[in-house]
Amino acid sequence: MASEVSAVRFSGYGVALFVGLFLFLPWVVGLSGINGQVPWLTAELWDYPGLSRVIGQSLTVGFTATTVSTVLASLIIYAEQRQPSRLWALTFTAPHLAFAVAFLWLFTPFGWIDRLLPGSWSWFEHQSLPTLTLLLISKETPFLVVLGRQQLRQLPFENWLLQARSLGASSWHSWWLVVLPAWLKSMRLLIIAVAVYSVGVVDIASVAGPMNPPLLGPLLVSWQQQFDATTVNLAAQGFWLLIALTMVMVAWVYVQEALVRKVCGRQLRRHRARQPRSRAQALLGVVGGLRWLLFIVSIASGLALFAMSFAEGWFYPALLPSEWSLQGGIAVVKDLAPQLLETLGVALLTATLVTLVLVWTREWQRAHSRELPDLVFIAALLIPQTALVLAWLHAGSVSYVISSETGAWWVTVYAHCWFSFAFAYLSYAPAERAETQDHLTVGRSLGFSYWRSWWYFKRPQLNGALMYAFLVSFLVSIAQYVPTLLLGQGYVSTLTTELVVLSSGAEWQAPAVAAMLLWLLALLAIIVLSNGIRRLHFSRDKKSS
Amino acid sequence: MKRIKLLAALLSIVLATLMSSTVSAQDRSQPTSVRFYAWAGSAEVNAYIQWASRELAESHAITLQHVKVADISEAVALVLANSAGESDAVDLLWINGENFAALKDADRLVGGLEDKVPNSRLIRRDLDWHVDFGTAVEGFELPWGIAQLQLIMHTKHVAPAQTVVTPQALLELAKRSPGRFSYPKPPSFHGTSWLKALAFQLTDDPAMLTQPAEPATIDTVLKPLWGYLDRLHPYLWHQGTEFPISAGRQRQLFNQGVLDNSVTFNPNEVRALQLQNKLAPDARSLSIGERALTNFHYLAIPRASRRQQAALEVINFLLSPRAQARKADPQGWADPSVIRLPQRDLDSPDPLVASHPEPHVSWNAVLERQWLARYQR
Repeated sequence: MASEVSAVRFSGYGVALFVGLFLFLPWVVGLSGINGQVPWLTAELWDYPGLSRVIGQSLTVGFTATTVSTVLASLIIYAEQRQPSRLWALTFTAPHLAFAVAFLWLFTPFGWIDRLLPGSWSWFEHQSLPTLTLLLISKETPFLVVLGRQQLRQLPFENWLLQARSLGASSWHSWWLVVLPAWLKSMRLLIIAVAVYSVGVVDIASVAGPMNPPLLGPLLVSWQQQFDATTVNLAAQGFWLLIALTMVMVAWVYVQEALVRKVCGRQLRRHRARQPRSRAQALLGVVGGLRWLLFIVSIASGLALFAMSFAEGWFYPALLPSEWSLQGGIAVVKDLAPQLLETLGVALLTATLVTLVLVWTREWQRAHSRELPDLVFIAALLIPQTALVLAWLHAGSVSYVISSETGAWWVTVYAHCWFSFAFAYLSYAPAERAETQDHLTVGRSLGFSYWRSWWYFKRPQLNGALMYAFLVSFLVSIAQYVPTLLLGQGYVSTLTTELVVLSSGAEWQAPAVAAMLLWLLALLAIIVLSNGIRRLHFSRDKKSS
Repeated sequence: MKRIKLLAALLSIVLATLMSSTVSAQDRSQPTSVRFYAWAGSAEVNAYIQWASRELAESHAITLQHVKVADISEAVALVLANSAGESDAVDLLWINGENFAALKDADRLVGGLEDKVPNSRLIRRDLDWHVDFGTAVEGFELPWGIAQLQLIMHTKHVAPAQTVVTPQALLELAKRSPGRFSYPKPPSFHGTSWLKALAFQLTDDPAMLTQPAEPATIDTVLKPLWGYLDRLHPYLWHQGTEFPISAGRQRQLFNQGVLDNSVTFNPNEVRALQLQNKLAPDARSLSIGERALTNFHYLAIPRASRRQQAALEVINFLLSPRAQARKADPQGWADPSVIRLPQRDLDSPDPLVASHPEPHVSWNAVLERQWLARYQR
């Protein structure tokens, strides 16, 4: 019967061609746009002042953010294996830039908290590597936790724990020695995505990171926007440097995983049955504290953005602004209405298209019993976004298409879809894989076509996962900066690009309003879709219990 | 049912966006729409362009679209990258300095603007706007406003009648309040301007700076500047190892109490921002030395623009007494007018102080390159 379902032609060649093009065209175009100016040892890139620090800082941020986020996410996943907390969702949905703007206002020296409790909060300087790293860790940890839970659900970890306990191992040891290595392996691509993003980060590095010299991501974008021959060469050579740093980060993720396996293996051989209750309890306490700390920081950041949006005359050392102006904030909201509509429209279109392609891609694999490696679908995450977009820009075909408004708009949407697809695939594929095709078989036996069977019988089982994929695509789309800036060619203006533009001056109200709207949009999306997500959690929890 | 309604609402937003994209694409073909690329980091500047857009729509049937950028070099790169001839992307640019030089050198600008824009006759004759950062304007751009580099400082560092701070006095101030002063990082526009202003004050022969930078003289001319910065940096914010990335960021840090100084290129800005409650009430502006670095910001039209006639009409409007007076309004942008405004002469004195010219454009690259080599390590 299964083979009968497999044999069903559920789509024509047209759709296959479309999806194939959707997934692979950017690679072809990117390859055609790659500049061959590899920075050999004689290249002028090496003479750029501070380059060794640029590289050192980029790698430091990459290593630290990746490793600490992974460690924290592992601890949180362990501590919340039975009762997943929803508090992470607030930080998870916070767009990077919006979160950074509010965080800096609150926690830097002379910031709001410092005014409230003078002298206590001087740890997070403006334009500093530790501040940027902390911001990245704060954003990447919830990302790994939320998506890591989905990966964990696909592992029979409760059976493993049971077996390990029956062999005399404590649940603590069983978790760290048996489950963690497997979970880390299943998380490999996601962790690589975090590592690649961190080493090439542009948006929040431009707001919170060091600037003398900057990290490689912002430096590369600034070179790209210059036009003298020297800087054009630097941009071309910097592309390859960023690719090289990315490869180092990918290697690091493998090393990290191997180290964990080695340590766990050694521990397993020494195997101690004693239940380190105190250690487990302490860990639960730490995770609980961390959860609430991040939640409170996120709430405070949201409130700070809200306050800054309606404040006038807020100067050091005043704890409160000299006046509140609802009118001023509302006027900015009105000014930002076109960007809000454009952000929403592009994100909804992106999320809809991504979800459709996602479903088709998974069903094609299932129907043809051909499980392609995840790497095929998420490879976009393994290359720094800036490098890819620059390669596209240099391809003649892309620069021709984006020279018109309509062309620029659709190419930008395409880029949003392509980058969102990779994240959405990672969130949807595990849930879809866990579903059998029995529902489809039932539908087919009742005389429905493949897609009607899918709609009536399989889709209800996947509603939560579909909504999750939709949500993830939406969130990724609204936060896109580099593709919108460079491919949109000024024709596409979203809240994220507007936030960066408004932040280029000394204003605080307009950027705060833009950041607040961005965050509210993300929160609205998660609230609207939370019903479906909750259902997914509920049905999964019920199955696993 | 609720879900269907929600889905319908969401789809209608997508459709609305698609339609607005299509409508905009149609607008593009109409000659009345002008895409004006301009820096948008100031609410007052943005509000002024919105006002101009409304006025132009009413009086000239022109739709002025403000394409907001964080740095105008984004637009310059776009114009330079366009090799396809006519384009819809950029109709009007707010530029000066090296951006203008790059476009002029590449022959990407419409010339003869003085003849094509009637209101150019109103431009003040006492202003030396015909050379932009050492590059002859030659009709490829027209001045829109006047810029003069000044320091902003808290009153506590300034004597009541003080209007000038010399580089030496600034060094003494920095020594008395270590970590409280800084300047925007070159090669940002304000950062490089800061270097030029100091170079004029410190070099033995300022006239050398108005000539093209020659390898044989560069070291001699700039030696006093680097010596001064070497002495100043240990007393700056982060001991001179980190600098605010832009003048905007520095003003944020100033308002937040992190720094005691900032810079501005608008001599009216302190008063205007204080009126608007956007600058600390105890801020004062000071000239760096007796003469201030003075330049202009301009409007230019790319040759590739399909809507040159409409863009010319926009420039003509922006140089009209009404638009210039509005621009100089202290409740708004407060940018000094490039045309004589009779009523303003009566209301308030000219805010400009004695000026020295911009160094030749070739010094920009030299200053930026040497600064990066010395201090970005």
